[in-house]
Amino acid sequence: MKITESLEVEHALLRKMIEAMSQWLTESVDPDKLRERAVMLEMAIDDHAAREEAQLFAPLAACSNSAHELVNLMEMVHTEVRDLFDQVADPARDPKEQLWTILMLTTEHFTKEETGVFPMAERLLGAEFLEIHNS
Amino acid sequence: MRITESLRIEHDLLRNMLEAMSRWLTESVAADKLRERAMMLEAAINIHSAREERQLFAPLSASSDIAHDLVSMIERVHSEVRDLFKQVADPGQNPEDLLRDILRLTNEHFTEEETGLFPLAEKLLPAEVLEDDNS
Repeated sequence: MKITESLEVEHALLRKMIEAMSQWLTESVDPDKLRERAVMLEMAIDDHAAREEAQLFAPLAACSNSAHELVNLMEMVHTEVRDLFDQVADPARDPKEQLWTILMLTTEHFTKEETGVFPMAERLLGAEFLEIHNS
Repeated sequence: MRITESLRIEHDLLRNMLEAMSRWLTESVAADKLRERAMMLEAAINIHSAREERQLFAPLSASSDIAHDLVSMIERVHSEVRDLFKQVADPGQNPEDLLRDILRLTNEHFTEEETGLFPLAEKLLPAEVLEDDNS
């Protein structure tokens, strides 16, 4: 199995978790409860992003200048999402607006990776390199 | 990609979420915070188990009597975990012991599926049934 395929499966599960958070936001769940539910969502998204950066972005960025630039753009979104989760954790702020931004940014980002970064990685790195050896 | 491969990838992401919950339990995070973080964990586990029941258990159960019995046993664990999450959500109960039960049961359950049920499904079900229609 290729790392890109594995990351797409993770995207599908994370998208459903994002849908659950979106549902709670529309149901006007209490801000303190939303903040704590977001702690687990942050953990799952960050775990996924860290694996993606180590196993895909690092080798891809070394392939070409255009790949390096695309990876930089993707990593900027990871950083932005981490910063937004830091703001959500601040009990002095209402987390709703930041959470909506996280949901929108992350959903768009997954689509960009699946339609841009992953196909580029498959072309530049090759199937053998992308194969996960512990699968 | 086969559904069993997709489910193994989801197990890995869920195991990391279980580890995070285990860490919060040892760090003595407040009960009301644990309860809310568990809501997102429950959503993730339910998304995974619903997909597993629909895409793997239903066709596997119909393939032989032995498979049917094994699937019934595994589905009982899904029900038990759902019941435990309901108890966690009850503000009248301390969630810590219940969450420890969920973590232990779910970790053992994932291992049983990976070593027993998934190999059985890969042996009994034809390739076209095993193909993950979400991937």
